[in-house]
Amino acid sequence: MKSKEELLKELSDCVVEMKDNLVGGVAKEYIEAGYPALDGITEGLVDGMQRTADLYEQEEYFIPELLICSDAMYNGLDVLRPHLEKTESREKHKVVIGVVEGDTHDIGKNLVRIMLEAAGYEMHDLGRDVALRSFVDKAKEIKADVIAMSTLMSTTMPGMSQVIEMLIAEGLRDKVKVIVGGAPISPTFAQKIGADGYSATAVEAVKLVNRLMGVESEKIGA
Amino acid sequence: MAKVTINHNNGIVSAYESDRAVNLYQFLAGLKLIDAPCGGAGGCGKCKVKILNPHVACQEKEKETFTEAEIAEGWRLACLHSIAEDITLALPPEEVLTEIISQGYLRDFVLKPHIAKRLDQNGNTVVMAGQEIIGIEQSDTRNRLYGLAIDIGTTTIVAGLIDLSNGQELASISCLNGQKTFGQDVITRINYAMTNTNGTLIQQKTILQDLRKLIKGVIAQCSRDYTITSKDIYEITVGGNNTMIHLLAGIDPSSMGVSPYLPAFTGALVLKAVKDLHLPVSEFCLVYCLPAVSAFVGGDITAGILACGIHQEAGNTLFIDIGTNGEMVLSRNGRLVACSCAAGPALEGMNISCGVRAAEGAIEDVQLRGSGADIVVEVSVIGNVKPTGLCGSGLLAAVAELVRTGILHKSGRLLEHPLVEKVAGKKRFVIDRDNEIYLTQQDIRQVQLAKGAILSGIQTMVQAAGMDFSEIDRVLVAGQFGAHLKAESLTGSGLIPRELESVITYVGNTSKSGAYLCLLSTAERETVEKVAGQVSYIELSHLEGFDNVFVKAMEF
Repeated sequence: MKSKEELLKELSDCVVEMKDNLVGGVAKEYIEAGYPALDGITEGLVDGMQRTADLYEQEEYFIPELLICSDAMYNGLDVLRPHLEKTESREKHKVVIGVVEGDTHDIGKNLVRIMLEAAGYEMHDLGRDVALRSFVDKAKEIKADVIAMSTLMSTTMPGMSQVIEMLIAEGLRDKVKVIVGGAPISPTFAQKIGADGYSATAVEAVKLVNRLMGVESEKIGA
Repeated sequence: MAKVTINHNNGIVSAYESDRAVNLYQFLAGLKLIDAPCGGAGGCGKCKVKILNPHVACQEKEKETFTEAEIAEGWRLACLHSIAEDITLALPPEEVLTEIISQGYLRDFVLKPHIAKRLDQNGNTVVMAGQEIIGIEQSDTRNRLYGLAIDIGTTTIVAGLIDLSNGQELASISCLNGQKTFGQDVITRINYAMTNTNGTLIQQKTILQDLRKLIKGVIAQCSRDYTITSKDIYEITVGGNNTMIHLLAGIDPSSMGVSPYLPAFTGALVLKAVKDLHLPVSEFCLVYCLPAVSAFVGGDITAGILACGIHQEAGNTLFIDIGTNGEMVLSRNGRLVACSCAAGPALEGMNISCGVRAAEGAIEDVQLRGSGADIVVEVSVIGNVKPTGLCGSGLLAAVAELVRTGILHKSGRLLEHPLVEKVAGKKRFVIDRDNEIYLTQQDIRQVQLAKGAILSGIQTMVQAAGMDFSEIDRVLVAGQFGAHLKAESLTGSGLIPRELESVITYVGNTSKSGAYLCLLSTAERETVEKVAGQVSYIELSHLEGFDNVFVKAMEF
């Protein structure tokens, strides 16, 4: 029988090496051997996703690899999650994410959602062409820690600023961090509209949110 | 006030005054001395200036753009600085476009212009637009009847002076679109219209200035051989994307800038040249703008359909205009489907570390000779001078060659090779070490995004038509970009499927040749209006599952 360390490494490798077909089998083997699901997630799958992110930063991997690796991670999670102990699920930081009203290009936003989810954040994805009001309403409803907005079109950038104004008007601005991204967005723009941060890539977005939340790195839970 | 002193390349020094705290890019753009694809948002790194004042602060973005030596010399990005005190600048050498493609493919047609002149019983000349009398001129002026066929592109404008009696083109000139200072692509132009007071009218004024300049130019160009004045121009036809046409007419384009991307109009638009646009032409002159299909498939594309006749030809044709936006039309025995994809500025040499416009010094072709570790790079440079960088065609040629030789993995990753080096953790392929021209991994990623956008557009349309690639009989590539491009670069870099390589034809500026047809034939005008209404448009970003097609299309 394989050791726990061997199986964790296999789980991690399945994610990095994009073996989305094999990962489920390894996860099953891991559970059947009686090892704890939580470790399998954090030290196996999430570790793999972290290595994927590193490869992205080194420019070895690009958008397609991030997506296929995340498919592998999700396939593994499908097997491991049902075996988590109830007590192992805990409060996670909540992020509301969406493409602002007027724009329907959402590949970048989807990548950010995936990477933040892998990093252990509870994601509430409002989709694309999202009414500005909805960002505020959703954040209020779930007591979000972060609002993340993206756009590909410079014509819709003013919407980001309006969301921030709505948050101020409702006295919510100090309760939630706001981050922005997308091709036409620059750090200067983020600063100008009073956002808390900007990131150029999905991988950077994780570091940004970690920094804003004051955590080293979140780990995925249930 | 602060004094701004500019040392021009040709040795001339000019001095200006500016309010303090004005952004340097905005100031220089206002003087039309500079333009950048991002319109001064700090994104593209193309607004390079040399600030000769000592100790100018340097930002992170500038450290990425310039070498340490360049920073020490004072090179900065204008958009990241404001005019805080008296300042002295030097500008980089001006880029001169070697050639703007002014001619396009044209099929046969029957000459019967919309505008005609006949003599009445009193010996005066009646000016007719179709069946309608639009003016009467004293005495016989029938020998003075000219028109303009114009292509208004986002980057360049081309105008041809046409003798309406025989269809002969007497002169043709072009210029860069003066709206460039408001941004490189249509979205930034729309944004300018949305966010600035009178933003639409300011851009209308700019385009009208350009048109006046071109009218003066064509008249001057043929003044040696003909005695024509600009008042002898009785009709102008315009092919242009829908944003350009909105701005020409002074109609707010804002609604095209946000989902669901609805234009204010799509039909053919007729304006009065003197009353509406104050152009120096005949008081009876009309301006006819070819109809659009949607916000992002405009009159330049319907002009292309018309000029190439793909609506009436048997067989299956794919028509593509490659630029910042890639627009394409697929005809299945005359049934037309169209879409537009955001390719980004990479293919025009922007957002590419060693990217330059197609001008003297640009590498327009790259070939890798030999095999394995012995591969050497050969380049051809426009004007046979010292290379300054890669233009779009050189960029795609390089990528195609890297794919062919296996130095580039199909995932887009540079593999190990003597010509692949790692500097500060970033990989790059050495194209010309002496002249410091490299293709970085990041550049290749930009190409990958562009080619994913175009290829996924093609795939989606072919699928929507229920076809496969082998059924496509011909591929027509239109626009400025395709001119220097080899078919094998288009397929080798994966913009167009490889099985189509042998059927690719370059058709040039069909926006202008479509405008030409509409100038010389009422019937062609009716045809283009009918055809524009029959094209079914696919909005790719609204399609479920398009993400997956796009991501898959990024593979080389």
